[in-house]
Amino acid sequence: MAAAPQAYQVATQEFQKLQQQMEATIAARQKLDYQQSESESVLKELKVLKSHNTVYKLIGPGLMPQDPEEAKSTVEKRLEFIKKEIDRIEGQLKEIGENAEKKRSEVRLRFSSFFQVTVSLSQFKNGQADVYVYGSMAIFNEDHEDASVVTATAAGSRIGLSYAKGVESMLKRSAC
Amino acid sequence: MAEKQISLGDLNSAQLQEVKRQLEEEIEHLSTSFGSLRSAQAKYRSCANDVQEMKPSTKGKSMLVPLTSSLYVPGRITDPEHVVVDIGTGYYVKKTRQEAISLYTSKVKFVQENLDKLQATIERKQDNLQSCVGILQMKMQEERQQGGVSA
Repeated sequence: MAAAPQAYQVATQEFQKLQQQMEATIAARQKLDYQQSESESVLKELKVLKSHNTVYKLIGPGLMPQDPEEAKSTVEKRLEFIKKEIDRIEGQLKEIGENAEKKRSEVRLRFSSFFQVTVSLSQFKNGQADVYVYGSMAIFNEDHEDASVVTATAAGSRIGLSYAKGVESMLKRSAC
Repeated sequence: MAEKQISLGDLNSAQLQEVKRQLEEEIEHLSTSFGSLRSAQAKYRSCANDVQEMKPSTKGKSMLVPLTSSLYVPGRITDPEHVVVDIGTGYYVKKTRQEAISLYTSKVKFVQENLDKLQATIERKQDNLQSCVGILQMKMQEERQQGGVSA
């Protein structure tokens, strides 16, 4: 019995790792968005220049005069590069999202049966099983299908039923 | 909005909690963006004002030019007709005063449009959050009553 919570922990840790990856990738994506819009506004500005407007580029602490056409093509290249990067990161995001979803359903499948066993146990040795069910279920606070499984399995006896109710309400409270 | 309400009613209380948490996060994020847009707008506005301060009559007037934050050298305005404007990503453009002012005012306007859009989004999200919280409270009360009857 003790093995299941441990395996559960490993699985949730893997899931959390994926979530962290996801967050980092989203941050990179946002940075690109920001760079893209900045470059776009620069390009827009460069396009409306007249002959008396000199373009400078900041190099270190000094401003160096630049050929406007050259500046334009540099910014255009930059924009192309940024667009490619965005496509690449979008692909990564999709992949990580799919992996995370897979992991999630895997965790759900593998561990829901464990909770069923725990609850039917609680019909027999109620004192300990109570705490045990609560301890394991509390981690599962987002999963409602499991809560109903618990109720169904435990519905055979009055004690079991009230336990399941207790678990359910704890679930709701822990979700707050 | 009506559709949203119906789908909210179909959720159970823990799912509603999740929706509520997400909405709260979104609102916080949007409010931070709103603040930074505001300060960007203020910056553009003060730039436009500063350029307006430069008049042909300021020609030849002396000023202190900061070389670093603690070192200043005396200088004189030789060309009050032109300013050099930062247009982003390290590029600067020499513009006439009038051009610079119109650039800054158009930036202020651009930011204002975004601020308005953002404001509308925030208000919509707050509405959503409110209806979500309302339904959540209703559901929790129902569950409490049901729990009381069977126990």
